[in-house]
Amino acid sequence: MYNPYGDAADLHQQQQHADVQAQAQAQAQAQAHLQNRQFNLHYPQPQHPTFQQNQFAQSPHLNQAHPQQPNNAFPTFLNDPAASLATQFARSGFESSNQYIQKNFGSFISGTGDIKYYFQVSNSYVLRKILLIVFPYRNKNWNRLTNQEATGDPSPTAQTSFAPPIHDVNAPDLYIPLMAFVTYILLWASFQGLKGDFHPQLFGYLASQTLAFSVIDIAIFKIGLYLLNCSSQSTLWDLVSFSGYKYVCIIVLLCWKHLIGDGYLTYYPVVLILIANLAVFLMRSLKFLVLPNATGATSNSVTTKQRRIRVQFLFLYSVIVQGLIILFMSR
Amino acid sequence: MFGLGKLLYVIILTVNGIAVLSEDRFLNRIGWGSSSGNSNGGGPQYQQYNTGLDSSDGASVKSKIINLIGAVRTLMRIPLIAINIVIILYELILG
Repeated sequence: MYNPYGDAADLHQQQQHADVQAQAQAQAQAQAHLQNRQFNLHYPQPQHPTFQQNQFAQSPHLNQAHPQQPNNAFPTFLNDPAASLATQFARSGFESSNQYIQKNFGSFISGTGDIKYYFQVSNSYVLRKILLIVFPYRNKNWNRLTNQEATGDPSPTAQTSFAPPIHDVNAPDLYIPLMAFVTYILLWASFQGLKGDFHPQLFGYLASQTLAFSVIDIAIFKIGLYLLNCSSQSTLWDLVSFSGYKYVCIIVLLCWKHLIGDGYLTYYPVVLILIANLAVFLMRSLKFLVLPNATGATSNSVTTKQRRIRVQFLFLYSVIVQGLIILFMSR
Repeated sequence: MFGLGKLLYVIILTVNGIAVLSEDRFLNRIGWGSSSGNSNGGGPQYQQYNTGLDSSDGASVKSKIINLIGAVRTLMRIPLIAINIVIILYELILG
């Protein structure tokens, strides 16, 4: 075997069998060299001749035995033109199939490339956003900043894009909903455990139930947007993000219920206050999706009757649908 | 409890219900046929739904619902047959 550390040990042993083995080895090396020469005629490999000649020069002394040949061929396997042709073909085929999928089904797989935008959050953003969800009355401006206003450099694409959550407290993000979802499941399971009711399948039941409610919630909003003909640049992840902010309220309610009490006077006013605050927060944040922008020049402007229907829909969604879900999930 | 499996059943049953609505026996009788969606502002009884209509077609809520029902019926009939067969087999074999 090829020994990179030199042949100190082997050399010592082989000195005794030097003559007999040297002849046999010389013959074997000559044959191997010839074969490799023929090999080289078909597949020119610049490493082979020099390597073999090196060995051939030192063959009587060193005990580099027969496995040189396959050992030589192995690391240079990928230099084989046939193999490189195959990798080229595979690479181009993979790229073209990827492009085909992106072109035809990219709209269905709904923006898998753009989700990093929703996770660019900072500690101050998270704190301010949670305070905003619970008490939305101190915020003055609810418009989302565009990239240009926030950092001063124009966006690379022609369409103006919104600033990420680091720069803008009104931007939706996916960090808070995801964390709140997990926290809700863990909190519920721990409270069940305090009651003595815990079993490990509880996690599965809770996750499945919560996901089902989320699906219904987002489906209601999407159908509402479609029926009301609201043309806006909202992606699915925006809706997921806004629908996930209610988990923060649910967590607060759960903690309140278990720490302070479940009576009519201590619990239900808190429920109503939190639902009202969340409704105000959602109505103000989702206004940009449902109603046309005051400054932007949209192609079709809505009439007052349509505007009223849209506002009613927004109110219905924010108060009633979210309120029912919150009541059910924090029982 | 109420989980993702039950939600899937609810969705499929609802879409089944929309897909079996008969065009000429039911939808035309109550004025929700696809032909009445095209001729907006045709008769006097439709005018109350046209106040929100502007240059874009299908802008009123009613015409959008009519379009949606028509689209579900056209597109989802054949996949629904397959999905229903799968669910029936699942219920038969695994209870």
